[in-house]
Amino acid sequence: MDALSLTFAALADPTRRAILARLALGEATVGELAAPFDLRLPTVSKHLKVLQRAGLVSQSRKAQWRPCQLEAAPLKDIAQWAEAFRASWERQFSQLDTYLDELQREPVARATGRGKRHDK
Amino acid sequence: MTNNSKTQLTLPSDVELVLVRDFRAPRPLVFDMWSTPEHVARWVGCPILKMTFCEIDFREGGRWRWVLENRDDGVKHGFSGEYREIVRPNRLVFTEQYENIPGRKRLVTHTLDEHGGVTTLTSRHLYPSKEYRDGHLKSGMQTGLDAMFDRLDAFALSLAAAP
Repeated sequence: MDALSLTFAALADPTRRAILARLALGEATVGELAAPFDLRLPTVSKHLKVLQRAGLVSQSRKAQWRPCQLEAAPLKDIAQWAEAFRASWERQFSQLDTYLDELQREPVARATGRGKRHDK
Repeated sequence: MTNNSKTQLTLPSDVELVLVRDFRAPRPLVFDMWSTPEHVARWVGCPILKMTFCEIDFREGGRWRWVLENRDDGVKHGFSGEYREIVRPNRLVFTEQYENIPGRKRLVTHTLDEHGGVTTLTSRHLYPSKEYRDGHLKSGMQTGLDAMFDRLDAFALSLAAAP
């Protein structure tokens, strides 16, 4: 799986998104992450592994309690990806805007002059 | 007129994407923009991706097919599908298949609402899988969009000036 697919797969789960939202507020230990979700530690660890594989979370090796941190870079990739898609539609729709303006300025010539109409 | 934040994109689930866009035009007119090749050819495509074929059998169960050809590399991108629901002017449902990758069929639902002369288009795209949805999102990156951007203004101007 490429990096973006990994990121999307990691974000597909609501618990993992909630973990990321918590980490956006600052680093936290696995225990601190488990508490608000009413989850067992192994379950949280499983989610964290998926997030780590996607590069969304890193875990400090220095401190004994190994706090987790949010890594925002892959999220930025996704935002850019979605933004490019959105921009391509925006381009298409602004062409439609221009055309609609034109039709409304010359309703007789454009709207009814060409093409079959399908209203009864 | 052409600021870049008019279209909103949301991903309400793993297999959907939704585009919302306002148009300053009455609802039946906006609806009709999908109903004939004459209209479609005026706003779909761009200077690089030129529409070279457009066939529309605008009735429930009828089929449609558009081909966009890339002027730079000559690659043809065919899209086709079937109309499932046609409820003018508020609802249009059709399937869409990207012909270059078999099996990539999605369901598109257009809903139109009009308030005070402004028509809001909500375009919901339902995919058979998350992989396909993500792949489609990603395709936005792969079609030389920056180049399209550069040429859009000139194109919009030429459209506006057309007799």
